[in-house]
Amino acid sequence: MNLQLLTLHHAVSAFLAYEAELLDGRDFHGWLDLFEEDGVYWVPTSRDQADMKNQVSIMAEDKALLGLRVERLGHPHAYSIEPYPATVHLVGNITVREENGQIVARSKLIVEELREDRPTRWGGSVTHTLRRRGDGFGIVLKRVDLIQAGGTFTPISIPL
Amino acid sequence: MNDQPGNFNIDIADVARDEGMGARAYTDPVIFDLEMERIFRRAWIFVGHESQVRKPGDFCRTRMGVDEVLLVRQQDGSLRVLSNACTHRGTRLCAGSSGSAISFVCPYHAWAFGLDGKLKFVPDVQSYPASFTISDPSLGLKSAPRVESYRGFVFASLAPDGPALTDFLGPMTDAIDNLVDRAPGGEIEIAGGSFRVRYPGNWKLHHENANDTVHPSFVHESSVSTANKSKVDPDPRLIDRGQTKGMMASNGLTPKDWNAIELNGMAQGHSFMGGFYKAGLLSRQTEDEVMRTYREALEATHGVQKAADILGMDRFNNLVWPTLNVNAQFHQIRVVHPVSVNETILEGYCFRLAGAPDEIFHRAVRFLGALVSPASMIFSDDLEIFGRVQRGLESGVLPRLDSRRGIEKDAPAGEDCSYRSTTSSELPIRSQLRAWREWMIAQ
Repeated sequence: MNLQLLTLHHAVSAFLAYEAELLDGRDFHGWLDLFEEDGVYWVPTSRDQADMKNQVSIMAEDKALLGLRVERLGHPHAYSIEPYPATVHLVGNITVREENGQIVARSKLIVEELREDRPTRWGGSVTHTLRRRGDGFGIVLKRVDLIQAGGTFTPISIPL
Repeated sequence: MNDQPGNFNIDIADVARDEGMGARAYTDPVIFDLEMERIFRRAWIFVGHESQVRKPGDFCRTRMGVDEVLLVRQQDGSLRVLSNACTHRGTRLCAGSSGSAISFVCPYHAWAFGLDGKLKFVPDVQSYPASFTISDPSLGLKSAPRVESYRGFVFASLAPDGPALTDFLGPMTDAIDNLVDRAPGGEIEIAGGSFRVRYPGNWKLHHENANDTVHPSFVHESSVSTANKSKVDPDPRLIDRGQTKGMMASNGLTPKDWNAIELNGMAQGHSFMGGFYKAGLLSRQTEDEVMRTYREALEATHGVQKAADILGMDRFNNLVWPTLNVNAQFHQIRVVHPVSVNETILEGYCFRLAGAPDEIFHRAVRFLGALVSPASMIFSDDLEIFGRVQRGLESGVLPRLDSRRGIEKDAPAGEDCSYRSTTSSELPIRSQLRAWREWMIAQ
């Protein structure tokens, strides 16, 4: 790995850790700001899912729609998250490559959620497509391929 | 299967009184077992859509109550519903949710069954006594004695006798007709994936909630007010063209609206909501380019008047008791699967309409995601409430739920034994309760 790529890997890793920190700290507006204006948040229902139109998604949200989700997360009567669970987003196994002027980061994600003493765990592979923005990055696409996708779910009330 | 579960010393008529169901109907495992016996092993249960099993050998795994079954397309094109348990040691035969087979071979000792469920092969058969014959029908997979399709919607009953399917469905055939008639090509197919979501509550809570007109303003307040405050316009550049926001806002019903919605409940336990368009609660969709193309295709098939009638059907949440919900306008169904007294799985599916523009299907896919995804901003609050009801009832403090809202205004509404209420009412809950009582009492 050359020094340039090493530096990029380090910067992207720090960015992903920062994103996880925003989510666990419930700074959802801060998280929304990480998305580019044309950014998309996508949790498909299967690993080989190619598009959002012909197959249903767990979440398939552009910034406007994600904005609605973030607003609701702050609502005092959003019962599925009242009380809001304690969460840990753990990001690891990060690989980074640059192609066509965009940065593609792949990582593994485990989310531990604890609500009223009841634990829930989500896990999967994440692909971030990033664009350089000032000193940092903006999210063009965050795709979360859950190992639970296609199975029998309990509600997913938090952003993954 | 026990034909005489006579050891249940429960006064069903007292548990299910019109004014409200006894709490134990939601918490007592003995009552749950009795429901499996008397409702789920007797009544017509929705087991799938014909488009899921098109060719001979195609199968689809589903449940009738707690019984896991396979819906199988036979060589002659007919349908069978087989128990998914080997007759040797009870091993689950098919672990996959669907597929195509020429026979079902048990993974344990390789007993093999034909598509019709008959036993075809047993290894080392010479070691069995003479009384053991492979052709013995009792060694075949248990097969539902009655399987019928109503316009592609397949129902099965584990009882040899009972009401005919169309009598059981009653006026709910109209909802299925309407959904199928919406396809300019005359056919619909399940497509676009599905959702399966589990909630920690009794199965009855889902249908009791679906046509309850008062809860949306409260349970869904967080999504209603978020949508109403949002400045997002239904911009065609958006992924969903503002569809999700509209769905979130539509739950913002006022007390005046509660009293404008017509509620229809049937003796069979079915119900639906009507009067949304008539009362102006929903405006008929402003016709965009996609809808215009679609309407024209439908008019070419049915003529202008019939096409208008089909698109104008003013009925929502057509609940086919005990487990199916048909939302014809949005090309969706939902299916309830009881797992145990306090655990339920819900499935959501959408349809592709033959001959309709692709975008019509894309909207159905989007609707399913917005409403039945485990991450739905609407549905997740319903599921939360089901869990809270279950926890409250399990605490044992409340002996009976209260379903008296509108009880004095249930008015007979026609020869099909249905009731209608044009005031805020728990009529749909009472319809379900009465059907439950009837099936549970019948020996």
